[in-house]
Amino acid sequence: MTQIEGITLEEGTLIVGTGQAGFQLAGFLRDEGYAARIRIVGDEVDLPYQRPPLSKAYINGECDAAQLTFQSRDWYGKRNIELVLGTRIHRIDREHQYAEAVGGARFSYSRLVFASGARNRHLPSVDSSLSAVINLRTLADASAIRDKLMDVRDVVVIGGGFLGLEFAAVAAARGIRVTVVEALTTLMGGRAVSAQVSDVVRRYHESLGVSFLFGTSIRTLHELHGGRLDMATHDGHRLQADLALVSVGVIANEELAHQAGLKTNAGIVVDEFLSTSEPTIAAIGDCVLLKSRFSSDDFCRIESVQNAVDQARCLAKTLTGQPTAYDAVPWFWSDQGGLKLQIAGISAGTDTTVIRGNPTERRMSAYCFRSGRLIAVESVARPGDHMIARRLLSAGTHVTPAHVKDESLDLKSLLAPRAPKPDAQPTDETLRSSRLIASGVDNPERV
Amino acid sequence: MSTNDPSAPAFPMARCPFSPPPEYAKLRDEAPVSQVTMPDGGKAWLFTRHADVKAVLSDNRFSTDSSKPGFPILSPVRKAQLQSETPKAFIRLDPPDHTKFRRMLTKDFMVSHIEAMRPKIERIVNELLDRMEAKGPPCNFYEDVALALPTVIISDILGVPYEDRVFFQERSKDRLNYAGDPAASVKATQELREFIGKLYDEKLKDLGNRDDLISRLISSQVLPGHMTRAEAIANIDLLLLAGHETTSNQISLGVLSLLLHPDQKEALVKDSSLVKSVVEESLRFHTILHFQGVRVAVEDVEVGGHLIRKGEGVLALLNAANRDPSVFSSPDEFNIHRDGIRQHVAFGFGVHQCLGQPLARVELQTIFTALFQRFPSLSLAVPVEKLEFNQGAAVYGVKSLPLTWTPKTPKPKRFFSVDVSKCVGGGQCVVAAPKIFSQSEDDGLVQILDDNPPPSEYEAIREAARLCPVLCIHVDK
Repeated sequence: MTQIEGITLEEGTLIVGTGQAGFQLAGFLRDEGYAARIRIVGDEVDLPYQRPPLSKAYINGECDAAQLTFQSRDWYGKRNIELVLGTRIHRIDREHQYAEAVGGARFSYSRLVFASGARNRHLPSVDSSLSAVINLRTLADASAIRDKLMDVRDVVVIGGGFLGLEFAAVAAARGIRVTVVEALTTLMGGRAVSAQVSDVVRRYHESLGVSFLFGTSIRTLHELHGGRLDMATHDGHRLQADLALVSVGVIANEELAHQAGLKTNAGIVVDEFLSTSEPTIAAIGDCVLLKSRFSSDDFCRIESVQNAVDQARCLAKTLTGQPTAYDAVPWFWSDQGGLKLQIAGISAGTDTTVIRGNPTERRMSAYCFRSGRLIAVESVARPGDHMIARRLLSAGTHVTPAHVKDESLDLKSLLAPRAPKPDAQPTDETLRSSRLIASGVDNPERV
Repeated sequence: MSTNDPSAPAFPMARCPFSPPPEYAKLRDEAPVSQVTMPDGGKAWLFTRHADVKAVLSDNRFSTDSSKPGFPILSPVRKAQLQSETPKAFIRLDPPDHTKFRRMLTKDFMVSHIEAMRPKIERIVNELLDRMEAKGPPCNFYEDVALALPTVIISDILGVPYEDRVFFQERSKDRLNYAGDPAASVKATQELREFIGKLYDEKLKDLGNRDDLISRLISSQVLPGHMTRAEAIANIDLLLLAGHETTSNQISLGVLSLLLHPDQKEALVKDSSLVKSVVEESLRFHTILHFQGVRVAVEDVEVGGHLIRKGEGVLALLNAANRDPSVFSSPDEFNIHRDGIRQHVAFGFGVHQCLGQPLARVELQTIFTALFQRFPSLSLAVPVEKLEFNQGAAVYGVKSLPLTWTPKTPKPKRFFSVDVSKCVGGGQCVVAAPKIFSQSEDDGLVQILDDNPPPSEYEAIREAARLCPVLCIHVDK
């Protein structure tokens, strides 16, 4: 299905998007010995940078922008990776294999990779042009927020997902009064976090002084004289605040692919080798929609660092003549003040949840089952559970609710003995497991 | 003893730097309820036993209203000050008026509310200590830290501009100097109330956009008619004064006591859970409100077997109660390990017990914990005998507290360090620098294989630091 058996084509690879997936792909391609031209094009003006700390350490002033940069400009030069910043691609010509930027510049390619990410969703009831309405996606967004947090007294967080709660924890710790408005009845429902974990997280935030309004959303928002915001919820609450953060999920940046005639469906559809319906075009990262054995739905889109990195690593192999199917266990984390949440798997579709540990001590794991099969584990301050969960899910180990209920049972004992480390002549099976391991388990070797 | 004993000793009596007047102990043994002569020639009953002091302070037949006949007047300054404070703040009112006003102010100082402020207080303490460290030794700890901390916090709660601190700090001192000039005290009170009045009017114009105690008091109490503007100003005046002048002196004296008892300081540094005991013992030992507990009987009342007649003044002194050996063994020793450490009445007792005590406790706990951890070599920069104390002031304390320390010598540099608590097991570091990092088999968290790497690994470690999604690897510049 792919025609990319290590053939080096002159025009090389064009990566659209300067986020983590695009950056990682360029590096991994060079690691794999890819010799042709590599260009990364994107509309952001900053050198590729880490996004996760934006909503945590960065807005709290614990690190500066320079620390977020993945690599210096020198590094791109040394690795012969061309970085084209501040440039928005607005058209793809599949027939002539070039991408055209606003302004007319053309970038021809042999391989095009969409790493175009996602953007924050807006709410129709909220005028996002108001200066007190804030969004958090880019370094520029976070820098503006960091300044604003210096003198605000109260904020409203619209949407109780990972981002909103990470922001809420930072703000509350600074003595800012925080109200989170969440349309669902539990927190982080977009990630299908179990009710038990939602409860632990909610109680933690309440201990920081955060208040919650559940099951409602913002009906109207307007600016008062002096810049403060006045909001009304659908269930009749009135809120006033110096700032409102809109954190109601994201939309995949798929338009360019759609216009190019590629298959999209709220995400760019790819096969297991991360190829789109056009063999010369692949996609990785947040913008990708793919079939996953870890999802209860037919197709899923995964927004995470793990997904960006592992897909980049996987595609780099495929593009250098080692076709590799993407099969990594999805995992996520969220640092909310002093609370560390780690999730392995995708818990949407859970019908049974079994708890290990102690929710009142904020040290617990929720094991999520669907039709008797373990599909996800959500851990608070139990990194050991999380790590074993990644291995259990990866190996497809049969784990039952009874296993989990028996706290004396070390779930690690359910795993088959470890496969030997990959040798010089990897079999398909060891190649596969080493790749999974490289997604973060324990293999110190570069794969 | 008659009710008008011409031989009754004069009050106040001279105190020692770290102890109440020695006469209190003698009286407690010989005549625990005895008459004293006030500076204006009036008489008052001095209570020196813990149980009696609590009995007086919890009995509403003793009034705190200074306009009632017979109310003991500590000094001409005190008299002028009490007369100039109109209307009275709630501290000078009896129930039910007292209850009504106090309730309007309770919420902001509740334990849960103050606990939520703890991270903010910790941040401010760290900033003040950063500044102290950056300026280098010696410092005037009283002014640079002890006074600055509660001033920042109470300004923030009330919504008083911190830039105006010198104005209100200086006037608060003039006002509370019982040994000073009555006219200066009255002038200071008037200026403070005018200052708050102006602030009040500014906030009134812009109520929707502010969320501070003053603005909330205006919207929720004054505008609906539960309180007048003048009453609001009187109570804000009290909160501002009580919010910075007391805690600052308590911080200084607590720090001084720990410096004079290095073994107890070391115990605190080793075990920060002792900080609560340190705070309570500092409160007891110093009892900075050394003239508090003044009341007048509004009926005949028997206390401790002694009949106090209507119209007679009483001095149920907090610092006398806090040195009662029947409650505190070896009461004149500073001992953070003592039994019954919370029995003290440093915050008063009864309905007038300090409104801001949860705030004071968190401020004290935070500074005592952070200070000695940050400056293990902290010591007095002058001999203790050279320290000057506010002998005659309403709030006892040290006038300045020069401290010194040995600045840290920079540690031998490691090329990198790792904060494992932040690690999420992403494995990026292992890919970037496999000779330096691995991951634990059990929890996936980073393990360091070589904490003194050869320069050939530096680039790989830098790459690991840049790729770590939680930035838990730090490379020293």
